[in-house]
Amino acid sequence: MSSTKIFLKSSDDKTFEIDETAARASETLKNIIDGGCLDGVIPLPNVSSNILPKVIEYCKKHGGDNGSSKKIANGGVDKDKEILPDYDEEEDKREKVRVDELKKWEEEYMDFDQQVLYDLMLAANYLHIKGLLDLTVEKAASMIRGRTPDQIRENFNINSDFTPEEEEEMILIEDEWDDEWAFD
Amino acid sequence: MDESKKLEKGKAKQLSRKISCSVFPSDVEENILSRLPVKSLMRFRCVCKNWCNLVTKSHFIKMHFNRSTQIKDGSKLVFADEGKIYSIDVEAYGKQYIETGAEQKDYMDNQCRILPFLVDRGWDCDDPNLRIIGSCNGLLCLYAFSGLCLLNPVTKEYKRLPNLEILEYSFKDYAFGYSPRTDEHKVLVIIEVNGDTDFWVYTLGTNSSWRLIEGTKYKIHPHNHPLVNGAIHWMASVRPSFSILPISFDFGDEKFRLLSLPKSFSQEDTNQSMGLVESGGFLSLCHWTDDGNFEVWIMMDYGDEQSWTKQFSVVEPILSGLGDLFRDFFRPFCILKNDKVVLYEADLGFFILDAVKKEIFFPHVRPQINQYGAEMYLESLVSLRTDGGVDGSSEQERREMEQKQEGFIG
Repeated sequence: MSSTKIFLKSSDDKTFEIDETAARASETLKNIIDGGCLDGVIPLPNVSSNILPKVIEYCKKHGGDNGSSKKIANGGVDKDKEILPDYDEEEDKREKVRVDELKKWEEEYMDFDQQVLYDLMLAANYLHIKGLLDLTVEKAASMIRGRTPDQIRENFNINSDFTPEEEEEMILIEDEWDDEWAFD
Repeated sequence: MDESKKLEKGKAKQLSRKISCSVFPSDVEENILSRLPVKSLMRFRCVCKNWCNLVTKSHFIKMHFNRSTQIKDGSKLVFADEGKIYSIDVEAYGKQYIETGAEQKDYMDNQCRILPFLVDRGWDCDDPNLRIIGSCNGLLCLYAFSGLCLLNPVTKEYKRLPNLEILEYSFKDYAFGYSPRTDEHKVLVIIEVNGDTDFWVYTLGTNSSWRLIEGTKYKIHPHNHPLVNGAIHWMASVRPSFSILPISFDFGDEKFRLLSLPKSFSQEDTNQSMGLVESGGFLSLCHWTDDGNFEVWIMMDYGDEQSWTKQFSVVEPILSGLGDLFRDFFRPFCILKNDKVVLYEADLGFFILDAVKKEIFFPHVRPQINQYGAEMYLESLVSLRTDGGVDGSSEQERREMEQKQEGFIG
């Protein structure tokens, strides 16, 4: 399928090309395209040329994806399914292969350092690419789980902004929950 | 920490406060944190002020709650035993029991997390008769010391409900639920007073007291009572035919309503073993057929009797592995995702029937609990302070909550 080309300009003035169908994976770009305000190049002052190719790679993979994976993701009530012989196993297998392939792709795609993760997360947020935002945010969450508060502050450059009095109180909380933690 | 060090630390904090607390925009930060377990969030309050305040903000509580219910892999079976509350992760059921009593006790104490129980909240000892009578939105309704109380076991918020101002009565049934329409948590108690049945309702909120409401004349069977669509459901005997029909109590308008069974059910069917359960937010009906099969029906469109749809059935041979126990003794308890049914039987306790794998799984322990003393439970940040907490609250309430935070943490 041929598609109109869209040009995106990064914050450091580099221009990248993307198919319109792929660009539609971004809610922000989709609105610009549909709004008819498309005037040659779309400037993206919040996305650098380090990150933009990564974003485009994601959009290429997911552009035109209108939620065929929803069925699996929902996991809830699927009224067509019965544990009876007439249940379409072939269709189910194909879907499973597709989902497995996508998972493998995501795993390879997400293999990068923490700085890229921040930038990609912010780009996904700015461009409203829900799938990419979910992916990056989930990764950030997994980096927080199981860490100590100190490690988190250090890792994510967060400053503790409590007053000394509050700090005292917080130390009590930390101790209390460290005890709780022993049960997990 | 000595004084000078503390001062230094404080100064450093003063300087650093100019820099924003976090590198993330707040919506991204909330998105990340909403994916963490409640216990992590409670622990990470000490990371920075923002994180500390977030766990009491109703929009975040709601966001976190909605995400947990979507994923729904943290559902646990909670039960009380000798004054302590235990939880079992039902998804982690295996095929084998731990056999000896000593090993069981060890496993229970170490692996089934004991929810913190609050001796320092006005109860000076554990009540061996402690019972869990309801679970909803991460809050537990407990019966202990001859009274009722509500507890969020993770945030440790706790509230004792006032006693009913009646001298002599006996409890017949309780229900605890939430109405999304009115954004209220309520407790319903059904009691017997001098041979009459009375229905009393308590609404969680400030200055609340028990109210006598109009009940139902139908006889309610106090089996498992699933909470679906803001209403609690039982089976009830309907005179004069004595047929069995589902009956609901709506926590919003506080009315009882009879529901219908699937059309294909005959009059004889209604006297067979049936049980109502919750399944992915739908009202479901488990049914043992004449030929020994086990069927699960789902009311796809709540309140519409045409919408009962057979979800799946399990043929008799799979169940025969359980021995010659009469099938009516298996009570359905709830349905997990992926067509796993939690069943209860007096000797076996709780176990899982996996309709996809066509296998039966047991918990690693066989605690002495009955089906009325256990509930499904999902951890949440939902607070007892606001009337609801799941469907949001006003800016003012939010500010009040933040002000009260000191007590909340304490």
